[in-house]
Amino acid sequence: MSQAKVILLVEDDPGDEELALLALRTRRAKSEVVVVRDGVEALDYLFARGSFAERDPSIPPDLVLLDLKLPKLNGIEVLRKIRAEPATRLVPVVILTSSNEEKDLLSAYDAGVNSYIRKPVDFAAFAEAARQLETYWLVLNHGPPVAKRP
Amino acid sequence: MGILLVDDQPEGLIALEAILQELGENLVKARSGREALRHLLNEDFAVILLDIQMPEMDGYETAALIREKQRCRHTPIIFLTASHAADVQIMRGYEIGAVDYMFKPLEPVVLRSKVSVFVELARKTELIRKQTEQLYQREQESRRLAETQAELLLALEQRNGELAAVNTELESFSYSVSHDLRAPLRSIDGFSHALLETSFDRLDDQGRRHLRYVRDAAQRMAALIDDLLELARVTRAELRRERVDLTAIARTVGTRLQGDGGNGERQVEFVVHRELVANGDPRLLAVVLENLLGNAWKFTSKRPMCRIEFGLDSKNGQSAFFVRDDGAGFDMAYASKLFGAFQRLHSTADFAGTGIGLATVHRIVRRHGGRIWAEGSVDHGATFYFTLCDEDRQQP
Repeated sequence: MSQAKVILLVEDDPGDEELALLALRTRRAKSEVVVVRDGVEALDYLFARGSFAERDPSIPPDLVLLDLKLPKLNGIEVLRKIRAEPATRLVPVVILTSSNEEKDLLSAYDAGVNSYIRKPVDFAAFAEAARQLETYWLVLNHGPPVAKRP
Repeated sequence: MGILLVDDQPEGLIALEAILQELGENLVKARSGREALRHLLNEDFAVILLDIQMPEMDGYETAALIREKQRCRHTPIIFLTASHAADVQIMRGYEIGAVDYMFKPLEPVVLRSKVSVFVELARKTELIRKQTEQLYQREQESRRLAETQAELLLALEQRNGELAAVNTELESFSYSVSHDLRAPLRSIDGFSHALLETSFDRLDDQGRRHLRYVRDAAQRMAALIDDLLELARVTRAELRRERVDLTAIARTVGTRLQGDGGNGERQVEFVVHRELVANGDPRLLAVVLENLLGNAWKFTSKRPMCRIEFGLDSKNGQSAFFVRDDGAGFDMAYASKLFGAFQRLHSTADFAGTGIGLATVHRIVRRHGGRIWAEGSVDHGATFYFTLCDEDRQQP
């Protein structure tokens, strides 16, 4: 039986967090959603420090859903840090954000994002997008190989 | 400038006059040193012919006084004297500043020759003085111009700086709007949806309807925000000018519209003329076609069969692009309101819309230096014409 997949959701707005969880409720793959509230927590999770020190850092999440507007570190900065470390460099990151400003798109792709999705206001559309995202990244897509435990 | 003749003896003066008349210059006569000085107060002379032997004030004294006066300090003085006079002190004369001595009886040719030299000199000096003054004035003018230029440049730079600051503010404003205004809308729509699902049974028809209104309102507001952002973006964006294939863009838009709209429900004849090319900004022109074709699509949506056409129209030597549909049309009486932001000619119940699309199109067309206008009639469709530059060229 394959291990449950992990989606790391980086989202500071509690309303958006709940909506995202609602939208992901009907996901196909067996997956667990971990929610962190800002960029610093996200990096703590990814590098297994702080409140996530118990975690095994060699097993990165299968998908990171990253908002751009976050307190402390913004989404792009988080993305850059993710791409800078060998342990997390290959993790699929999808930016999920309100903005479709060109400057955001440019900096996101420049920093190495895998995909950029604009959150629709219409919940039905958002749920559909979440469904497609999850199906694509966790079922259809082959993620990067994970280092096997010794 | 004239010639000053100074001699206490009238015969002397007459003789000088006779000799110098030929030169055609103005001859001024003085009977004494004092009289000569009076003339020198008011007039400038090319040369002074000064007799030495004069009672009261002789030629030397007169010359010395002349040299003291600023105005005539440099006027050439020719001493005239009888060669047999006992007290001719040639050195003294030169020391005082004479330029020449001439002995009486005067040789007319010689005198004329010498005098004309000084007359010519005076003339040339005057000319140089005038030219120098002109040059000075011109220099002053250039300096003034340079100063004005410098001031203008400074003002321009300041203005540019201000504009750049405003632009940056607008950008961060747009950015904020993009992010921050939509988040609460998502909550409104999302949780209304959630409520509809989870509490469906506990809500009556009215409750459900109200929640649907809440959702619709949130989604309308989101569309409005997007359109406003687009309008702001269009105004700010730099205009590129390159060859743009409008036929290709129109075909792409058409395909998308037909794909999205569940084309099975209605028959749409979508006609795009071939080889339609324009000189302009590709992204902005794509926005124009998306809006105009999107509108045509929307306003024909209540017909089972319709025709939408994009082409180039040539009338009276003038060309314009056009998008034509045979849908709901509009009342020409309100044509002037078509392109105003937030102005609509149809109710939201009939056709959804924010009322900004055409304002955006209008702005883009204007930025390209073109014109846009429309003709239509109720239930008989509409045609939107636009040009992309105001000159009468073969390609608008």
